[in-house]
Amino acid sequence: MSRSRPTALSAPLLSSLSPPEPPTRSHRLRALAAVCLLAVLVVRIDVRTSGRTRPPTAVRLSAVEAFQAASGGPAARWAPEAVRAAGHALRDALLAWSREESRLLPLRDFRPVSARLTAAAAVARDAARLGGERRARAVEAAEKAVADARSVEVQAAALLAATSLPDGQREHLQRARLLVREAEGLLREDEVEAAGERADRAAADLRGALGPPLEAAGRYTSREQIASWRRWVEETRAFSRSTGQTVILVLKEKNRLVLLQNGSPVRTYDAEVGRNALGVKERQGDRATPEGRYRIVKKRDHGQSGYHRALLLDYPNAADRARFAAAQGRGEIPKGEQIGGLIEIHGEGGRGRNWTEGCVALSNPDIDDLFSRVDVGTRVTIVGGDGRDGAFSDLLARVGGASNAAP
Amino acid sequence: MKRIFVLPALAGLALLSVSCAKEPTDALTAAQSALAAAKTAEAADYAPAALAAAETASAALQAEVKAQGEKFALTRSYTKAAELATAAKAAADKAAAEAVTGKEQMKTEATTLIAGVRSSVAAAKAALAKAPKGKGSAADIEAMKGDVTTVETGLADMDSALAAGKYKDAKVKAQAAKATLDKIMADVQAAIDAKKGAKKK
Repeated sequence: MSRSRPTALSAPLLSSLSPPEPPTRSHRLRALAAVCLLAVLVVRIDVRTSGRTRPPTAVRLSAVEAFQAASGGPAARWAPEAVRAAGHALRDALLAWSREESRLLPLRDFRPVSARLTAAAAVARDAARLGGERRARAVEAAEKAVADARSVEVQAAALLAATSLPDGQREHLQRARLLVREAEGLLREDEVEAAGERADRAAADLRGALGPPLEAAGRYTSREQIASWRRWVEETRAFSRSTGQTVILVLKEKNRLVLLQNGSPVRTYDAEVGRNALGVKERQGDRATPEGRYRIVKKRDHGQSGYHRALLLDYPNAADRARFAAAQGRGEIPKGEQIGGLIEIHGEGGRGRNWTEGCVALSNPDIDDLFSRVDVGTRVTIVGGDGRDGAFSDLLARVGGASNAAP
Repeated sequence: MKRIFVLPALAGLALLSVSCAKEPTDALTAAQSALAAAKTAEAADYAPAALAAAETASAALQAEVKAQGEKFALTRSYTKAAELATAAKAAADKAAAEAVTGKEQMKTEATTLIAGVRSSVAAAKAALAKAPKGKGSAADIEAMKGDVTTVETGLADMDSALAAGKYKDAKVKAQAAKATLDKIMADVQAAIDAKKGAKKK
């Protein structure tokens, strides 16, 4: 058999049986390009669907706004530690943002950054809420302190309206009242802590200033003193009942003059007493209205009195003189001082406050009416009060100073 | 042949990276100083919102600088940091300016109020000097004169508060004093009116 040459029919068969050719350089490059293209496609799809490379701008803005609201609001003063924590959280979140932004685009993942910004916003809102709560509590405390100071001021104002005070006491009270105004102003200016401190100081000063006059007013709630006054009133009423005579009762702290006939009240007049309404007359010039049992010794009609009309009383009586002498003997009243006199029931009143130098003042129509109903010799009993109510016993009840109070 | 150009290209790239990799120290310092100045100007009291914005801008700047610092030197870029530093300084300057303005306004308000108290004290003294001295009113007038003196002695505290920069305190003291003096003037006027009314009778 002879060897034959490969024919056209056997060439493909032969080639299929021969080993494959190794890949050429261009094949390799094409394969690499295809893989890169595929990888880019995958990354692109991933980026599009997950959004991880998209910076969460809105979340960042929200976090920044939350921090600014906290640090620019009440929390900066009332919850500084919480604001600092919010600041740290925001800084950490912004750092994470910057780091992510620095990476190659396909490698970025802002999702954790978004979570950190959301958390930072929450910390800031908590700080704002905490600051708001603390401020609200402080405002409540300051308002309470101001209200307390105001209530003490009302007592001081009532005292000032009812009686005059020695210059030093009045100045002390007025300075304390200015402090109350300052506390109110500080509260308006949102200086809450300062307002509370000022109000506390004002209340303490007011209580201190009220101390001496309230001590002097203590006799208006003293059992012994009230019992004495009630006894005088009852004796005067009994006298009017038994004799049918007209008598006058003056109750100083009630600012009232009562006309009794046959033991029963027939007229009641508003009466204003001495500027030193708290005190009882001891000496000339003390501006106090005396307390005791007196009589009308003279009626001064128009033209005879500088106060429209007047009823002169027999102050000082024997009891007053004895008391004055005893006080001088004890050294309580200097030897050169006089007991005083010219105590009247007169007109030119109706001023709504205690203003006389010791007399009892009625309005002109009232003194006209009284003038026509009384005579020389009419009994006049002047007492501090009846222990039930009145300017000073009410004040003492409000401040709790009635330590020896009558029932 | 191509290799001749590779080395210079690489060197050029390296140079470029280094120039962008330098921290903008001057701008950073300026931004920090501006923020400190805003706090010194009491922006926390007088421009809290503006200070908060400045602090936020500073936080963003610090974050960017730190992030760049953590990167490989050749890949760093402080361009954005430089921009943030400019913005942070501007925000801090704004806060400081607002604080100065706010403080100046408060100072002016307090100064005006204190001057008003001085005028009211003088007016009250003049009114009391001419107040009708009717029956029993002399003691009232003396008491009111004492009240005016009490207010007048408070002027020293107002001046001290103003000098110490405690403008709100000076303001509320002046307002309290003015309210007291207004009451005194009203009482004096009421007494004058009452006297006129009595004369007409």
